[in-house]
Amino acid sequence: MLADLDAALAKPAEKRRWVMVVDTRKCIGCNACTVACRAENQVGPAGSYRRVLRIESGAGPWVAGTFKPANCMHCDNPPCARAVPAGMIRKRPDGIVELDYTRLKGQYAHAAAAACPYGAIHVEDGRNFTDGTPAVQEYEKREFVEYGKSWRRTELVGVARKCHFCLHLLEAGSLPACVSTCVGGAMHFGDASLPNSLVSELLNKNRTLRHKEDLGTAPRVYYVAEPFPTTPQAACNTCHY
Amino acid sequence: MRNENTSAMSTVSGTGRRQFLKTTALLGGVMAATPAGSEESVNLQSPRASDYIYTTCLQCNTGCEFKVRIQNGIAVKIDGNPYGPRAMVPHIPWNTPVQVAARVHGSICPKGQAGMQTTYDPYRVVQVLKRAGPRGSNRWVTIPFHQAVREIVEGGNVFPWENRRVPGLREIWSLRDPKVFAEMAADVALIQSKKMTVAEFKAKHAANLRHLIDPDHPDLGPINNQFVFAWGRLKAGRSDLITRFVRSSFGSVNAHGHTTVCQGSIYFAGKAMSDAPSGGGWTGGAKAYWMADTSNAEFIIYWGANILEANYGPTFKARQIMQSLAAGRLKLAVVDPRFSSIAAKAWKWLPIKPGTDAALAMAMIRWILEHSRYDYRYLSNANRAAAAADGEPTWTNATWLVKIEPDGRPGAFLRASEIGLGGDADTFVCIQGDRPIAFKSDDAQNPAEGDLFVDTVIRGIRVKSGLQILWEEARSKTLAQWAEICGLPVSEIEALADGFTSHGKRAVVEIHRGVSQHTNGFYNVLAAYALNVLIGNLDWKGGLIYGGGSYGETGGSGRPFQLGAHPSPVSPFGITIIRSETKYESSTLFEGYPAKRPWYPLASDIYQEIIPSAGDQYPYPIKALFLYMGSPVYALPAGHALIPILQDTSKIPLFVAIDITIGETSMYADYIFPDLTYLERWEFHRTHPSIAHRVSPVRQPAVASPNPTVRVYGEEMPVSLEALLLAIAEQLGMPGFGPGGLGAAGDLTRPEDFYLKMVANIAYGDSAADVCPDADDEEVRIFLEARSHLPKSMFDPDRWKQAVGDAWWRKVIYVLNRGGRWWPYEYAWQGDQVRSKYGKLINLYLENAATTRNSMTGEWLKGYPAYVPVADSLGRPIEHAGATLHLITSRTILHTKSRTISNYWLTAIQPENVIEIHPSDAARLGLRDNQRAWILSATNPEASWDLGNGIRLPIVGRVMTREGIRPGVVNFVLGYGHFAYGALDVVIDGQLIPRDPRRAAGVHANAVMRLDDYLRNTGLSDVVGGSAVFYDTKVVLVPA
Repeated sequence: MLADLDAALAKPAEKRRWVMVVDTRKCIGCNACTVACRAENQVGPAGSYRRVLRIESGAGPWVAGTFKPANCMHCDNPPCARAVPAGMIRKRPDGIVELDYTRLKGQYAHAAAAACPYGAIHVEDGRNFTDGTPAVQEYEKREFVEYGKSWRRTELVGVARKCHFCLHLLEAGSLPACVSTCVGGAMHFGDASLPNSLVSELLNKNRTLRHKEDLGTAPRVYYVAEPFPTTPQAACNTCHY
Repeated sequence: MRNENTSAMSTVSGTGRRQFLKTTALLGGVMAATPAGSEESVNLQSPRASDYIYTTCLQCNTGCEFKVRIQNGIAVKIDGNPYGPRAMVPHIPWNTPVQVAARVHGSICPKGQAGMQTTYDPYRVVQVLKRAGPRGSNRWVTIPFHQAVREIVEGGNVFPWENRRVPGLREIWSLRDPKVFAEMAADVALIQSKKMTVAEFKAKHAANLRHLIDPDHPDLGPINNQFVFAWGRLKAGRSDLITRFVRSSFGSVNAHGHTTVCQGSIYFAGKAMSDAPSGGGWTGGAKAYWMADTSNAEFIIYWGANILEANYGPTFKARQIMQSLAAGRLKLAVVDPRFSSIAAKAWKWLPIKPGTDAALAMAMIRWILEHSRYDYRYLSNANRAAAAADGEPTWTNATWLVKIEPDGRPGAFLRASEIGLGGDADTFVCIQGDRPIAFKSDDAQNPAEGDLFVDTVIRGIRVKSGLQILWEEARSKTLAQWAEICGLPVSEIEALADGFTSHGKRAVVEIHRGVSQHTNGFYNVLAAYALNVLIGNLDWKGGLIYGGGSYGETGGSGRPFQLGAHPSPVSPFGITIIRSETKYESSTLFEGYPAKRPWYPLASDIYQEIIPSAGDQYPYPIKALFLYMGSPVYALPAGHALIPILQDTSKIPLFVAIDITIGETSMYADYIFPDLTYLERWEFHRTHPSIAHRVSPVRQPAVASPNPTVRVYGEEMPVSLEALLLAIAEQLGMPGFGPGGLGAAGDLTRPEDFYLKMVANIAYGDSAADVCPDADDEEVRIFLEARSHLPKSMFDPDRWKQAVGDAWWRKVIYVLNRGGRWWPYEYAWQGDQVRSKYGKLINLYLENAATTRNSMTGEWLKGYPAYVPVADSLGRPIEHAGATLHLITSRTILHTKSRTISNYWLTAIQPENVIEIHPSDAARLGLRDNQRAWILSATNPEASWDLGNGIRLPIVGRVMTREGIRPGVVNFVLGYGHFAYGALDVVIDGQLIPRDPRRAAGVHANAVMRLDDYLRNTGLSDVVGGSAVFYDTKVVLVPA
């Protein structure tokens, strides 16, 4: 995937078409991705850029288990952008839905959060996990980079935040935090406009689903909807047909 | 870095509502130290190699390799280290330049990602604490490090209100002469083999009897043995220093780990199965076991093994499994009362009744033997030469003839000399037709093969082959009867056996705690491993492997530094406080059956025996208990029973804990010495049998420690385990530490004197041809810059270079820049086998066990895999006072057993655990989802933890139904329900530090686990294999 990333980065930014492909069969529901994202992007208790659902279905010895991670879908047709004044939320040419931290505050932040059918947006409130303990710890107060600038969470109180495909890591030649750390190897990321990229291969070779597709959001996050050959497991499309 | 005279700084929390402590005792009270160098703005460009330090995780025992990104001296992001096979499958070549590896990130689990929260825990102890009230009163004062060291070394009236003399280490360090140690030890051995009487001993050693615990019982050893050092999570490097301190320098036999609370009986079954014949007896068995070669297996049964949430370890096992599943070349079955994560990927889930694993194994063994689905050729080989002729790396004693006692009990192996075939005490017999064959096990020249199923008489001696004995055990019940015991359908068992035997040697049964942590654990393990032996998969690709081991960090042939060197070591002797590795019958304490407490000839590190034995003063009273990175009160089943013993200063006169927190056990200590977290320290994590590669991951300092700096042997270092051991040695003048402490290998005046030499040994590799390259100038620059935020007391390159010498310095840097050393990916396998082989005899029949008596019943132990019903320490069925719900526990990948509740990023995902119960049981009991319920058992009918300080905590949990659990079984996840570790108010230096209620969320029902009716202060145990039993208690749930 790093080789694919290098190939994509060699192209002009507007020619890249970022997509995320999740092979939920390989997801083990561990939430390494959730914690990695929180650490990388300094996300506080107010919300989370991603979550992992652990779904148990069936009965008796024929119980089935499915694990499904979710983050901002980077919709091609994002409802959040329509809920706020033009320009506060921008769909970049490479596909990432970008938030303007200087303007997407207060009522606009809450409007964007409410508009997202995936619950992907939260509003920063400046709280820390180590509030209420003998002292707030330094790592919670550190600077981090989002949308090309460095920030501290205290500066973002009232501002809407969400997954941005770890744009700062992409530009530095690394994969998004959730993709690198994925324990089961479920997370894939790359440029779908490169026909030989891993993500293109996965999209071509497998049936895939997108979440709440009927809403017309056109997400950039795809879920592989195939079972493993030897496992009579419910694939996603058992429920999402 | 703070020195000891820092004045208090007060810090106010974000809520502003409460004025917090004015103490520096906890991390939360220490103002963030300004790191060396000025604060730099966040680098908006590519991560540089010098932004990272490569080290090893300790959020669980897997020890994944990771890199930590440092920003302004703080650990801000953790990623898997791509050089290591735990974090990347396949891992990158070791000679990849570190500049290239900088942007390549491997995997690591959520605990690993949250690791800096363990280091930056506001409740972390960063000053030495001494209790200011009774044990467990949660009142402490800070005390300077050297004063604390003096008090514990010299003893005295150090708790004035108690008006008692605390024995110091100096008086416990009674016997010091290595020559006397050796002479007494030799004569004690003679007493135990009945070749010398106690009277003769006393006469011979009259001048030194005052050094003994009890001159009438010399086999108890010297007073030195009354110093007990116990540990929880300890790895190499630190373990070597502790062993050096406790055994070679101080002369106590009582250095004990926690093995039995983890897998206990798996280790000791493994030891028994790996014993080899020697001098008429059995020796050489390693405390180790076998796991699956996952990447190449076609069929795996995960049996009591929660491989995706626990075990060793999810980070790479999940990757290996998912790769194989996606390629369609792996089929999985899961045997577990609970639908674990791996069950979600499986072809079949078999929800077995807890404790009946041997019954399922026997059913499968019966099916396999009846259908001839075993590897006939492999099992026929009786010795090394026969195995080699078949290209097999291992062989079994399946064909060896066992003598049958008049009462029908299989006993010892027949020796060739007993039927006139000559040979020595290690010459055994197998048979072909009617022709007995004499052979030696390790004979590489003369192959011996035998018939598999033998039941005959030779020269009047009734004999059966090892496999015949197993066959009779399997055949003692029908498939339907075995199925009834384990609560599974016959058809499922047959399908499992069929699947398991349809993939040649690329099939494997992988077991773990679900199999071993029962009273019958030892025999469950033998039975499950027997399945692997039957298909002959040992050392084969996709089969059962012993692991690739590590690079010999402490020395060995050719290596630059031999770290066992000691100027004047003593050989400690005497029965251990846990009566390990010794037979009751050989001791001078023998007085018939049952023994007062169990003796464990086949096991060691029996964690649940340490404190209760001190409580019973059996085999002898102790004087001092040191506890490192362990919390038996929280971790052990029925750990609550330890509390009254820990509080009793007549049973444990001195109790010192080395801990980063005031935890559920260290809260009862006299002194707590703070320590370095894994991001601040050295350690050598080595490996597990789950890893086919040779691996030596290094744990090295990555961030500055908040602990005070102290001066020991003239060296500045942060307060830590090492500082404490060195300071005690300095105060005592004890050899093996300080100048000349490493004998020929040099001084041991600071930790790096030892640890960097271990790194140099890793740099050497396996042979002179293996020695690693020197780091080039750019790598040296990166190495230095990456550590520029560390204070001199933790990183002094000149002093580090001095520890290994010029010749090795750049090689040490090469290793440290990568975080360790590992075999290349493809190198783990050689043809169709693994390269690092077990390669010898595996015991299907255990003569050593068969000739050992159970110290509680006096009966001979069974020497073969068998179904043994769950029982108490006297072998009696366990009474449950009407309770019928079978209690088990499980891990979640979010937590380790006891030390991750401080990680708020993890508890954000799951703030509390629940009591998992099947809907049919909930309906029957009138329990609904989210309803709270008390958990009661026969030995805890009040459903409470009595903390011994006036606080009694209710054992109440939130009920949640799920289909994914066997009806009749209830489960809770370990790691929640804390009552210390920041979950309880404490007072330090008169200041109240309020608790964080988040840490108390959930339920920890270990206090409900059944006490043994005979021992009364200990939970149920496997008296053969040592396991502390988690899964054999029945409970009642009562709506709260």
